[in-house]
Amino acid sequence: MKPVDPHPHEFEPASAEQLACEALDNSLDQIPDDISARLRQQRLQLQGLDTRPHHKPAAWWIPAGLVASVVMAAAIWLQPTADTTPAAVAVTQPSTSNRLMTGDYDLESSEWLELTQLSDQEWDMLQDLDFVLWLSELPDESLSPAPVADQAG
Amino acid sequence: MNPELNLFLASIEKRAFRMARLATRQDDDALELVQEAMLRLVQQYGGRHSDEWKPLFYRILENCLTDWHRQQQRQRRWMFWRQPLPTDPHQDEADGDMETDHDDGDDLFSRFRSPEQALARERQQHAVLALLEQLPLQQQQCFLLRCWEGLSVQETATALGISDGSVKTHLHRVRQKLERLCADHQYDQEAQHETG
Repeated sequence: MKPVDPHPHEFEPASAEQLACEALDNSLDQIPDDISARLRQQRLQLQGLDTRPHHKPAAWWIPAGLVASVVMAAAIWLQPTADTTPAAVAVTQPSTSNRLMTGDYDLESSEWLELTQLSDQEWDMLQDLDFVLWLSELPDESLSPAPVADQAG
Repeated sequence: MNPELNLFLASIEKRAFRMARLATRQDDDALELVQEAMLRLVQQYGGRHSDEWKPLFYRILENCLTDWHRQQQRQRRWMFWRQPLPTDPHQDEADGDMETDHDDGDDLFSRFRSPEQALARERQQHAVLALLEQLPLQQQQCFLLRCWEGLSVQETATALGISDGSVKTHLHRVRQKLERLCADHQYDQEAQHETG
């Protein structure tokens, strides 16, 4: 027969965890009155505050804005200076008819004047020089002799 | 402030103070940290659903405690000649009073068979609190949030910013230490009985 405990539930060996929680609960009652009063006062101070979430301006937009400004300034600075608008292109580039008229020679007006003062002999020589220059710029294949068709006959 | 939020803060202010007090061992710093946590909760999360307040509040408090500890470490590094964290004056008072003052112990005595048992239990509780105070911050907060506050493993992990596995590991270590302490106390008690 089991002996009956005369004082049931009076002293049970609690687990370490239970004991710790019990100790912590008991320690709440031991908080001094002045501390409790200060806690209460702190909480009352918060009562006047707005509970709506404050949407503070995000701090990241300042550096991001700076970086964007720098990038834009650099892009503008490094942009090629040539004016590529259609009007500018028309002014700077000679039309096809102009090229034909001048023979695609890039000559100054004074040079043109000198050309007009050349004699016939000098003019022929200049044309020969021009022909030699044209010949030198031809590819080598075009200079190979044409096949002789009727050599045998 | 929302009256419901006020009630919530009233319900947890003492527990939060106890947690902060265990971590900082200083009343003023603990009060300041609790106030900061409350302020942040009210300002930033006051509009949230009331179910979210508890884990949010403890997460904020944990962040405040971690910041406080980092700050203390920095200060100690630069001011190495200063004393380490002060000892708990209330703990000393409590230890001193334990021998002589049993005014609030009537209830305690009535629950146990003998005054010796009640005294032993009270001593054990003080030892447990001292042990909790000595624990590393994360182990301490892990135990307090999970076992005392009753947060789930996941909520504890979120509040502390660690994984679920780490929470379980910390809890296991704390339990081991507590069990060892209790076993030591039991052994001391038995030895006293034998000599007495």
